[in-house]
Amino acid sequence: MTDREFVLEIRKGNQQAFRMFVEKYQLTVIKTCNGFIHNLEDAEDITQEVFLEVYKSIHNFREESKLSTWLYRIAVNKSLNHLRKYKLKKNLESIESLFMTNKNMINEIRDNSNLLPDDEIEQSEKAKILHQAIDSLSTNQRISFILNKYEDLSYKEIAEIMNTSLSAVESLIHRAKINLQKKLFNYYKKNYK
Amino acid sequence: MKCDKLHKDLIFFAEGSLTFERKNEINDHLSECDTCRKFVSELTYSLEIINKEKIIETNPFLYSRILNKINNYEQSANTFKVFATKLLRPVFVILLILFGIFSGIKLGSSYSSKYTDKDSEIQIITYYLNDLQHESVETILLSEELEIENIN
Repeated sequence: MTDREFVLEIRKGNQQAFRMFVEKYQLTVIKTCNGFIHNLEDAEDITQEVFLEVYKSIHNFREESKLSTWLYRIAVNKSLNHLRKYKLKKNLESIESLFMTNKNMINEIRDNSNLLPDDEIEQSEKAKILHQAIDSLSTNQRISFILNKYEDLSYKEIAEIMNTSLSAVESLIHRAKINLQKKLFNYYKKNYK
Repeated sequence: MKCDKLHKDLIFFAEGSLTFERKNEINDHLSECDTCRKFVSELTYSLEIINKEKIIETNPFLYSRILNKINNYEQSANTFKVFATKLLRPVFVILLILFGIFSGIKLGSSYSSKYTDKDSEIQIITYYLNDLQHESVETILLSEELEIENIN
């Protein structure tokens, strides 16, 4: 079934078509959401919301862009909204977390993962540092980097999703990588030298 | 070669997106510089983490969960529709009637206040000063006819 057929059939209320659509795109959406959230369970929850949004808004989809582009946009927006809500919730829950330094967080991971083997602890620590570095990028740099690295999308596809020019995406991804390297190097200098 | 000069390219080296010449330059430097070599291995490891995170298995229950969400959404939409028809519609009609009455009162009061006693006096004066009010077209024509008869 083509994307155009998916749109027409879902609009008609064809549940079988919607099921096929979900099966075709669920991994794409989960991977994108996981790139932002770094938690598979939360990413799955957001994926459910993304497909619910598709179901609700398919009648308003003007088909000016590809269905996949529209789906990516919804996934990115839902993930960013989730992060905003999560940040607010976290700030309200604990003022202490506002003053929590990277070292404290690393120690927390160490405490929480006493039962894990050493290499898994190391991987978990490094993944956490990488996630923090990705999260500290500006929103546009983060979106372009995640779509490029987690979804292997071309610069052209990212430009369509972000509704910007190809050169802007090239610049965003280049700067994102340089900033990421700086942040990882700072961590490396502190902990390994 | 100084570390600072090639440092900005290390992430591109780790992901393998550099030109052949630049790659060789960095390889030469890495064979001499222990710090940069360790950092490149850290960067490579970080990029591998991303590749590992990309491997996700499909959840067989995801579709049924989405379907459940859709059903909940439709139920809540229906509840809202019932609520809207049973309660909101009469409330809206009452508000509309009240608005009509209120705006009627408001319009009426603004109309009466527009013409004060002074305005009516001016109207009376202009009425008396206006000759046409006293002498209609018919009387003029009648008087003209009488004049003609007299002449004849």
